[in-house]
Amino acid sequence: MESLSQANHGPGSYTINLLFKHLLTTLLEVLRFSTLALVISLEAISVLQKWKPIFHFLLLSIFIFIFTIKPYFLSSTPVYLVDFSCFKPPDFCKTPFSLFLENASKIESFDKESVGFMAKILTSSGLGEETYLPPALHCVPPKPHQQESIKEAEMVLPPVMEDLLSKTKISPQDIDILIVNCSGFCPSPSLSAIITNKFSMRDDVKSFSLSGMGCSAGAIAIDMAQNLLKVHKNSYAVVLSTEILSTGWYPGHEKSKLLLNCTFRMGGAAILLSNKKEARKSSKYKLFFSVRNQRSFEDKSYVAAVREEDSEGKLGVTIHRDLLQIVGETLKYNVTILGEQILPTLEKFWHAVSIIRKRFFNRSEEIYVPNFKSVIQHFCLPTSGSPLIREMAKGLKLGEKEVEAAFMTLRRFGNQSSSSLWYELAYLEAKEMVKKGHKVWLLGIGTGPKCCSLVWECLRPIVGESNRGPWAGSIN
Amino acid sequence: MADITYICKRTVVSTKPVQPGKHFSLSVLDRLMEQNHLRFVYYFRAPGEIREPGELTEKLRESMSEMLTCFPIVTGRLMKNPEGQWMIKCNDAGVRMVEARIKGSVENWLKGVDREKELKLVHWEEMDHKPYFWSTFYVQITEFEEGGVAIGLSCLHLLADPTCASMFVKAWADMTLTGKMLNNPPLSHQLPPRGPAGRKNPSHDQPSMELINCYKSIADKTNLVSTDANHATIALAFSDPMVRAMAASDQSSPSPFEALAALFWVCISKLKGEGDGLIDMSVCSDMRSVLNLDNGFFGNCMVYNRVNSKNLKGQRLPDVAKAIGEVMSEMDKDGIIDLIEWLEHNDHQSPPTMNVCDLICASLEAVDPYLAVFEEDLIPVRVSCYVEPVVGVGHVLVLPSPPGEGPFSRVVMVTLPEDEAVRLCEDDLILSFSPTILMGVNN
Repeated sequence: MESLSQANHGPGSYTINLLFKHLLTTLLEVLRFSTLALVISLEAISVLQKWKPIFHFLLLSIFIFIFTIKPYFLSSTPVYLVDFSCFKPPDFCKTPFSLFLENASKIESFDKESVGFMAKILTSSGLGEETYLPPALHCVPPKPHQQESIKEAEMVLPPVMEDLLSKTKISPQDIDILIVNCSGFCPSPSLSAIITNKFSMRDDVKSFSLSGMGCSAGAIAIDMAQNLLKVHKNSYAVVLSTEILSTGWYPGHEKSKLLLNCTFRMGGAAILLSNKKEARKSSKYKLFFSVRNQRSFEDKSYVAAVREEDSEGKLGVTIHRDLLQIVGETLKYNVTILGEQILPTLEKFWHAVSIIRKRFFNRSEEIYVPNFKSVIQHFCLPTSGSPLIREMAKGLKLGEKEVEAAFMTLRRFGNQSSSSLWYELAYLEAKEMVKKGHKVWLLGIGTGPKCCSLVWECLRPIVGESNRGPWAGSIN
Repeated sequence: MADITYICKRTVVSTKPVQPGKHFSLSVLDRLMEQNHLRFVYYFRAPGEIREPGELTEKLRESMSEMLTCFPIVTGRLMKNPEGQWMIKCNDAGVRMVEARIKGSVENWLKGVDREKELKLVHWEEMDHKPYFWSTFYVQITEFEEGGVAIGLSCLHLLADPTCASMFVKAWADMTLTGKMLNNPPLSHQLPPRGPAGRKNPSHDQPSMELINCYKSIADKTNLVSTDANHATIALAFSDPMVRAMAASDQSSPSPFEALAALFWVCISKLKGEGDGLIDMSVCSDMRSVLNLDNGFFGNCMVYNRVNSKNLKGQRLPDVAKAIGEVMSEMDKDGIIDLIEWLEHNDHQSPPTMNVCDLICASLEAVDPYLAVFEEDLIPVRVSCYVEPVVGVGHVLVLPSPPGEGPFSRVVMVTLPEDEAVRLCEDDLILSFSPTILMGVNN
């Protein structure tokens, strides 16, 4: 049974699938070209041989069908990212280390060892002193009630949605698709229902709430919106990403569960996508490529990050020690497919050569990691913590400049889970590093484990963002 | 009387971080007050519009965060410096806030309140074994279900005297009302040095010993008068004409504080069985104006001086008041600076407890709590002040009255052992000045 599931997965099968797709596309192209050649030669013969006019008509209709109508109907319209907004939490939610540790030491359920452990994690995490926690987590002890989480959701989502609507000058009634993702908190009515209620959206809006999908849920929601926009033409889709922390506080002793207490912080983002033709003029980005994969089929990877109760019945998310390695493996497959789609032929060639060399000649040799910087100019990596960012940078051969956005976002805002990627993009825009034609890679990795890559192409110059958005006042 | 429901306790942080590495050292006058803490309760009557429960608390919390950026000494934490003395490390740890709700209205509460009930409106925690994680300031916001709110503030006397505490609340009120601080942010903490001009009276080369002797005797007293009795606090309001009449005579016109201090000194001495004589008493007053300090000086600036009771046996009120006035005038700039220099020279490791041995009559007239207006119709209607712990003879605090009651009217809060407090309320001399009993002793 297991071997069966293994046979369907693994890197080999993806590559094979892709090669097969390549082969098919090439075959079809060859077929089209040969048909064109055949049609032209038949036309030439018919002119020379003076065949009946019906033949001309037949050949002409074949020509029109193969080369005009078919491509027109079968090509998909691109998905544009019109604009996006990030939530800037109010300043009274700031959480310096002194407040965090003092509150932790006053919570009766924590012992001295737990507080000491969290202090160590805080100082080595890469977080700064101005990250934000919701008001419920400033209480001693924190208030884990449903009402507090609803209040936090109402503090985060409506303002960021308002900001997006005013920036893009559309009204809530124009929205056709709404996707809200939040891993930890799942109320009824759902978070998307809270938004459709607050903004009085249309009765036929297609709303979805994604929960439990971890830090990759934001990128996955965009991928889902892209698929929906293939079916629904001429539409606007809004994706809201956030993580509601008020319910997620772990009050116990297990170190593997205390990690998220230290690094998770408030955040939220709203993204407007569209497949309308007129959106191209005003949009910032076009979705160039997206790919998602998961490793939940493998038991060891499946349990890398699990929300469960500890021995005392307290709920928390266990982060296993080999998470870094599992993330690496999940990322590897995702990157392989991404590379095969967007890397230049030369890089793919060297990569293939090194695989062959490793397989048949020298097993201990390292596989050549292609130079992604040759096609992608900007990288938005998951901000789960300094160690993870450094590992990914090492694995993808990225330098200081490429990881600047991730480290700065981690320092200023902490790990905001699914919405972090948008704060990183906002940072790059605020520093005016993103130019027209540049490609940006947003990489979401989360529990599952799941991985989703989105590559965007910048459509227009982006200026003046340093005065707006969450980085206003932080960047000189 | 309905019980209080405590909703939650939280830490309120300032909106802008302090630059790292900032410290505040404490002065000698601060270090003397280490064993004491202050408690204030501000009452506000219900504003016109009905609010959702918790709405006002949330607003006050947010404006407090803004205001705290100007008070890094309040959001910092105690640490010992290399000399083993307390100092404040400014680490932005914040202020502890307790939110509570209570049935009934402010008016009904004020009719039947006593010391025990009132202290429930002010949260306080004694220093625990980890001073670095212990908040020195506590705020409690109690919303009355039928309208009105009580704001309680408690703080360690080591950091602040009553003038500072009311400055803190006023800054908070200004921030809530206008969105900014109306006064300058509090200044640094250093007491003034002598200055190049030297003494005012150059013929006196010796330091003036009156103040120094007073502090010396307090430090030397080893047998502390400690009673097991419960203490009670009463609050009496004296109207403007009554205070004027109190100690007026042909020769002198004492200040309201001197008159009231004299009155209570005489009556309490009688209660304690001294007959015509007077028990040991020390007066205490704010010295900011004497030392030419800005009102924004944040730190202890109240100085004590003992009044010599020997020659006052059997004297009438005006003479007693006059004696008090003479003692107050001894507290001049030179005298205080001599005292400060002497204290710095003789810095003990464990400072004496100031408010224990004698009867203390403290003038809190420099404290103007009624300036703390949080909203257009959220004006304080009553303010109470406590200096804790009370273990000795007792104390008399003279506070200003709500505005509009005349410049000489005052509210006096007296804390004594319970039975003495009851008898004080029935004392003829006191009753002859028709005070309104704002807070009595409930049985």
